[in-house]
Amino acid sequence: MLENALLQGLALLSIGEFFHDMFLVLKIFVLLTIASWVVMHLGKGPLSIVVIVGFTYLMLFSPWTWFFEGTYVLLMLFTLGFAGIFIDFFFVFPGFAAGPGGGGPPEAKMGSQGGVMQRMRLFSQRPGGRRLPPPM
Amino acid sequence: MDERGMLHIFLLILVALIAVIALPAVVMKVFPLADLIIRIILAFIIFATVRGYLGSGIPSILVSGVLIYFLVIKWAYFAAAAYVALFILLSLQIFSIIIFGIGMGMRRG
Repeated sequence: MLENALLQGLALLSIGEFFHDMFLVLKIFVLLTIASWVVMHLGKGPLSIVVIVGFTYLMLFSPWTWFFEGTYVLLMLFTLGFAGIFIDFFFVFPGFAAGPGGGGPPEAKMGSQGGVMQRMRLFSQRPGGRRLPPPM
Repeated sequence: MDERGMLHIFLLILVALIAVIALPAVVMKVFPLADLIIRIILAFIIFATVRGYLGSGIPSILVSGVLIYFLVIKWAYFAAAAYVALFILLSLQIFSIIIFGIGMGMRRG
């Protein structure tokens, strides 16, 4: 009884089948991108069909498939602003967590907007420093 | 902020992001009508995307059919979660708001 339930659970999960299907979907999306790009540049004609077939072999059936598919996934992620998450987490977030210019170590002060403004103001008061406009 | 604190915050952000990403799948499981509506929305989005690539014609319908079978019928929960995570949260910078909110909530003073 328990064994049957376990087997059914594993069959429901079916990780291998999931990845197989998702790779197929990914290949279809890469193929769509190739076809769209070639038709946009060459129009609909025999030459574009030849180029589409060549690119399709190179990007979907050659040993370098993993490279093109990975590049496509990275391109899509960065197009959607994936890099912004890293910027927020590693550069913006420590400044917010440190508070407005106090409590944290000096590098955390530079992370917050208040700490940066404080340092810019101190720098502008030095001889030869550029005067900052008054705060709004 | 020491490394231990950063690890805790990282785990908190990770849990928050996973909770937000898993939300559509939970909604689809709890409310059957929402399941139907989300599947219809996914099918429309897939067909519109493929038509944007290939134009109106038989190839669009064929490719859309294959994609709809895999993403709307077979793996609908994953597709809904991926759609919400990638095209709504990521493109509208909602992830930044979540990270910003957690950072402000843990602010020192």
